[in-house]
Amino acid sequence: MSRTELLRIAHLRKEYPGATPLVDVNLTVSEGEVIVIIGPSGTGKSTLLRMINQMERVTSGEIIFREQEITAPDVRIDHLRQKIGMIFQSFNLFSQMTVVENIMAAPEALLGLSRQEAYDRAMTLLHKVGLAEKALRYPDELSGGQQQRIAIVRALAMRPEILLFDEPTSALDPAMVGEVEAVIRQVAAEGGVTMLIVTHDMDFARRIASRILYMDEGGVYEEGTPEKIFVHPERERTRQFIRRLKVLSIAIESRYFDFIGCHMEIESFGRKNNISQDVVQSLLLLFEEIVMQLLLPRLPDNPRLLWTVEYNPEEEVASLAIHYNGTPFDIMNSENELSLRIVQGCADEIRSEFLTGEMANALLLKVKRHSPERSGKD
Amino acid sequence: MMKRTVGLLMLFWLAVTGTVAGVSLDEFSPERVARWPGGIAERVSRERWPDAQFIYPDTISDMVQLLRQGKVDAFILPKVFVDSLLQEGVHDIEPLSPPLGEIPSAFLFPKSEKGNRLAGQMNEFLWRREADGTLKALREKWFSGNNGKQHFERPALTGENGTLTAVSNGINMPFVYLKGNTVIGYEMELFALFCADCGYDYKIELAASFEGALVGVETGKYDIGINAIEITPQRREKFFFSSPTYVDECLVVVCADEGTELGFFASLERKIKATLIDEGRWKMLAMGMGTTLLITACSALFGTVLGFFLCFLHRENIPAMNNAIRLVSRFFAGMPMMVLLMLFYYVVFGHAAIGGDAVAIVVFTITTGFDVFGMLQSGAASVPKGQMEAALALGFTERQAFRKFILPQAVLTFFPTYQASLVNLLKFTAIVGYIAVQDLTKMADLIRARTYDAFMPLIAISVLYLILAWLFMQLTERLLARLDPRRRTAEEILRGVRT
Repeated sequence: MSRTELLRIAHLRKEYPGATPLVDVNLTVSEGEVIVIIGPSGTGKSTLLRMINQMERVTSGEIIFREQEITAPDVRIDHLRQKIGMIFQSFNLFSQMTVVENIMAAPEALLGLSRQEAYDRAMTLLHKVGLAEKALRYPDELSGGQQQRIAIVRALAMRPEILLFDEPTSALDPAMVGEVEAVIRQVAAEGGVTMLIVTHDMDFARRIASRILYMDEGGVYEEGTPEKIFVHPERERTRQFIRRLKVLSIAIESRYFDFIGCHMEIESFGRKNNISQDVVQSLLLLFEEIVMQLLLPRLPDNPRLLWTVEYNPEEEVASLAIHYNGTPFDIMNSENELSLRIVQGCADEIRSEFLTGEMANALLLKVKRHSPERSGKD
Repeated sequence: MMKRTVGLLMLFWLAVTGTVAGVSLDEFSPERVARWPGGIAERVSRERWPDAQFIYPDTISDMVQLLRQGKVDAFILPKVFVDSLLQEGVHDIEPLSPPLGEIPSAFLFPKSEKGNRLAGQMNEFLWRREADGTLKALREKWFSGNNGKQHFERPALTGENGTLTAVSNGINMPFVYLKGNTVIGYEMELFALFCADCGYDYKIELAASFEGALVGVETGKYDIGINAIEITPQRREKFFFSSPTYVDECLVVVCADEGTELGFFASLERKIKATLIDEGRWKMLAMGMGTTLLITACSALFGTVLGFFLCFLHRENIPAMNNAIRLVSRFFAGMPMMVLLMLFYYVVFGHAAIGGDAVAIVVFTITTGFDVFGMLQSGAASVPKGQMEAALALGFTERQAFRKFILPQAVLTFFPTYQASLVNLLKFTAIVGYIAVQDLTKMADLIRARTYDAFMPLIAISVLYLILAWLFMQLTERLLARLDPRRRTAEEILRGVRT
């Protein structure tokens, strides 16, 4: 079966003031492919996805969708976006509308469906994902997993040609990841929709992908079938990432989150992965100082913060990515000098990035191998 | 409620202080004196009592009130006003003799070519009418007591030489005052005769204060000030005066021995009657309420529309436009409402033939508009950004997304603030009296000026304001019930759909 090309990306580059996450990205997507994008934090996976539907501006390069250059000035991007569905990490359902209205809104307004047609389409899809009985509920009455399933249905109701999933499960309780992934697999199994998925869940990636892209060093570092990437990776960094990388994510959505529980999670992550006591201590200190002292007090009333630790046991290096919402704020400008000194004692290569969208601010750093006390004695 | 009212009334009565009756002017040395600024009263009283403290109430009824409550030891007024107070049944005051001096009062004209011409015409008219005895007859008619009984017919006016706009604060009996809905009085009749003689038509506007009236004449908004205005050297620098229409004695008035006092209920009844029934004053309150309601409702409606319009305009992201909006909004936010009203009335629309109520509606529409705009902005900012992204990703344009998803939520978040600001708007309208609008508060002032009773008119308008505020809350509650999507039933959500 010969496959038609749906999307072609050539020499795509994205620069921010002070950072260039994507240097030169080249990628061709055919109809019906399910592509999973993996890679360390801060390598621009989400940025790439968001540039495909122009939620982010392109610095240079081409994105050609159905033989149309989408960055061209005369392109009606709103028309193109109708064919490109997107699922966000934080669901983003319309909170003043019921579930069924969330799904009906776009088909009715943009595709010219009658109310009845839009309703029937919405209900058919809701039945498929097992949420028909929630049709008249409001989003805030549902669990995160249910909200994300509805967000998927909302995108599907537009009958898109391609679906972009931007870390669809990373804001979910572990207990709810399964139901969302099951729905994504179901959609993939039915075929017809091309998918691009950014995720940190390697198991999921392996089971759903027809092709895996490993992104690093500002572009697509290595790509291939799940088998090739996960079992026989060819290049060094891919190998390190696949074989060694251990990831812990903690999502914080309230000032009064379970601080003790988070501490215990970090400690048990350390035990499970044989991380040295020094590094675990540094991680705990960094969590305390960065989250509690430096960031949370500066975040808006609805704080959203995603703490991700990636540990590479081969190099014994732990790196941290902290994404948070609110106005851009570089912790290095903080007046809390004590906390800053502790952070600098525990980590280096500290840098901030400020993008757009939900949780647009990112703080990236590498944890030092030795805790500050020890390195003082060296 | 009743107990509290009675308690307040008792306090009101007890506030009447002891008297200094029987003292002559030379023996009298007061600590605090109420009077109007400038003129003979200023000069002589400062010389005579250098250590006294002076306060400047706006109206005669305020002076009586201050004296009764013991807040001043005396007030200084022209004799005619004292006489009419006594005739109105104010028995607890007494003038000292001899008088402090003489006060000439006259018509006031702006210092312009037109003002000069009018003053000349007026002087010629006064001279002619003095000679033929008309002035003497008028003085007998208006100054011989019998206040409240005099009539005044608007003479036939040709208006062949145009229309003159006159201003007064309307509370200087018997010179110029409001009776029912007509302005009458000695100077008023004189002015009407002048207009008839010289071929003018006229209209008269009521300013909230004497000072307000003077400002209006100075800027040329009005052609003539009719307010028993005393001729003083300072005023001569800024205005043209006619020859004096009347020369009066200037009296120092103190508290008298208590006369026979009415019983509590009889007195209350008399006050209610004076405030509401005499001269059909309830009609004045009803008209005032109508005016207040009109200004508030129009400003609320137009202001809300303006707010939404500004919001959409702002979202077009045109830098120059947004800077302009921000600048103008700063200007309006930083101005006291009263200053804005006067600015628009006397300066912006100073020479436009546009009434005070229209100016009030314009000003309050603009301020409400920027209020609503600000509320919408912060309401929109409170909607999670992800919802805008989700709408864009589905294929809506920014404009569609804003109107369909963000705005409805913004409106809900801003609604409580919006309700409060509408009630605030109602309260703010109480100052429109400053630009000659006869709203509820102004009407209470006018009634107070005639009855010398501060209490009843204020109670009456308090109740009326409460009713209006309640009405606005009810209306907005209904609106909210229609706007809040979560109050819909399942049938309403699925209207037009077979399930």
